[in-house]
Amino acid sequence: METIRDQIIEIIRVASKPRKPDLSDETKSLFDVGLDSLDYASTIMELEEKYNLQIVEEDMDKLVSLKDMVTFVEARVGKS
Amino acid sequence: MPAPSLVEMPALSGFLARMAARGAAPAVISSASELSYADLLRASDQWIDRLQENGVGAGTVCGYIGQFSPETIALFVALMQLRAIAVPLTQNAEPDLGRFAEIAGIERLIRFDREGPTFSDFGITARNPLIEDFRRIGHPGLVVFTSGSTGSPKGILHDLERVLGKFANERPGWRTVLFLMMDHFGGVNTLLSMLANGGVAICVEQHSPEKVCRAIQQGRAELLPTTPTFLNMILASGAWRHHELSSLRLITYGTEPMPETTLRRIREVLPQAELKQTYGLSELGVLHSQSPDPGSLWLRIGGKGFETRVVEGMLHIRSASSMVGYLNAPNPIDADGWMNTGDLVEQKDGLIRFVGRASEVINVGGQKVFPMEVESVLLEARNVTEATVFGVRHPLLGQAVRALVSVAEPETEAALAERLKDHCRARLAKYKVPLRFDVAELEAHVSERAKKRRVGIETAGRQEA
Repeated sequence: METIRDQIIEIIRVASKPRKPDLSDETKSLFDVGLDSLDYASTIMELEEKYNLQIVEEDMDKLVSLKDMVTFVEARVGKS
Repeated sequence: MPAPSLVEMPALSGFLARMAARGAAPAVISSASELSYADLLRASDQWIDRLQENGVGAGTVCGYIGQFSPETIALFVALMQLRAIAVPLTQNAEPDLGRFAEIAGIERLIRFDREGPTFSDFGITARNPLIEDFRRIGHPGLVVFTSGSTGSPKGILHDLERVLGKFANERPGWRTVLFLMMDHFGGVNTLLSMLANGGVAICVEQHSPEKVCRAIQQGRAELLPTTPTFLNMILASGAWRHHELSSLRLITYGTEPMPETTLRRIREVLPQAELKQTYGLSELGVLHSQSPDPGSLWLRIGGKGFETRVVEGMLHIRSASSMVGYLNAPNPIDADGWMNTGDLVEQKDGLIRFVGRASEVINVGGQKVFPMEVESVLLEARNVTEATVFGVRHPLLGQAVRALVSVAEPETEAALAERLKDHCRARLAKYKVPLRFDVAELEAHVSERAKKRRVGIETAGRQEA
């Protein structure tokens, strides 16, 4: 079954094409693996739409890694 | 002050004389009836009697709700002859009728429905100072509405004697589809141009691709004044495939920038029709335009009574047939008669090309994105039938680019979004690529597009003929 983590990895993959960022729980910042501000903005927008969330500027400070995003989304929509 | 005689209104008297001289030539066609010019003037005379019985005379602000039909056209001609102030409205105005009536000071209202026309007394006596001053001149007037940036309608008062002056020189008359709405300046301009030049007005019941294509076929229409969005709907619906449209000799389009992809496709589908971009504003009138190459979006605009200049990339116009003024907003025309249209243009060898509304430019982290450029790229993608690109506020970027698309064959949204992103990335700078794609059915899309464009318009609704 596809987990929230899988879904977020897919969102980042599409947003950051043609780069293929190495995504792991150890990555501290998505910007370190090649995402730029547009890739990041696209990722945030997709997260908002897919999980029906509102992500404000203050949230973004806490959403810099894959792990941050998974934790953030699971806390709001529950684990799957 | 007594109203001036027709001798003092050469444009109106010339217009009516030319109509009378057409006699038995066809003037108006609808699915229910056909009127010659003589029939139309007779129907107009009957309206004059009826209007006078209901207290409508020179200077009366008279609204009417309906759509272009032999009856509403005869009524409009009658109101001009009476030197009343006409306020044409469509059914869409019903929810806001009170507001429109107050802005224009509508005194009498005529509704057209299945039982025929009915009069109602609005009980409002126009006290708008602009209308009060205009009444003293004694000319026929016209009020149309345009939506401003706040969404509140602005009433625009025109002197029809001044507007008719543009048609003093006779030009070829066309069998013309009255596609642009009766309550838009572009629709009124089309009607006046057509009647002044001995053309035939073809009324349409609904503005669907099927109904309009059927009206073209049945009325053997030569001229279709329309919009790029509707041309795209004709392409996307396939309505052009099962109607005989070979009578079309000229398609004029305006009101919004034309994506190059749509222009190319419509030329492939209707190769016999010349495509001509027009440009006008409710406040200033409709300008003549000429393009050295029918497949190009570069054009020269102007004509008798119009002057143009470009200031900081924006088109400014001075017009001899400009409005008397807004009824409920400050005058946007400066002391020298110039108005900033808010339309961004590029210039080359004395020609201009429209790139979009200044208010629609999307600012992504300080970099400008023109929606039309991105829309044109999206329309080249497989399966995409319509695209609208717009900006949304974004905490990180200031603004972000989003797109609404319609497709011919269903696709999963995720696969479509990835495919379109790839398509755009291969053709556009990265900051221009929409961050997100939404999908809508074509009809809902057209309505959503109109809303998004309306919000962006700062100065005026642009209507062309």
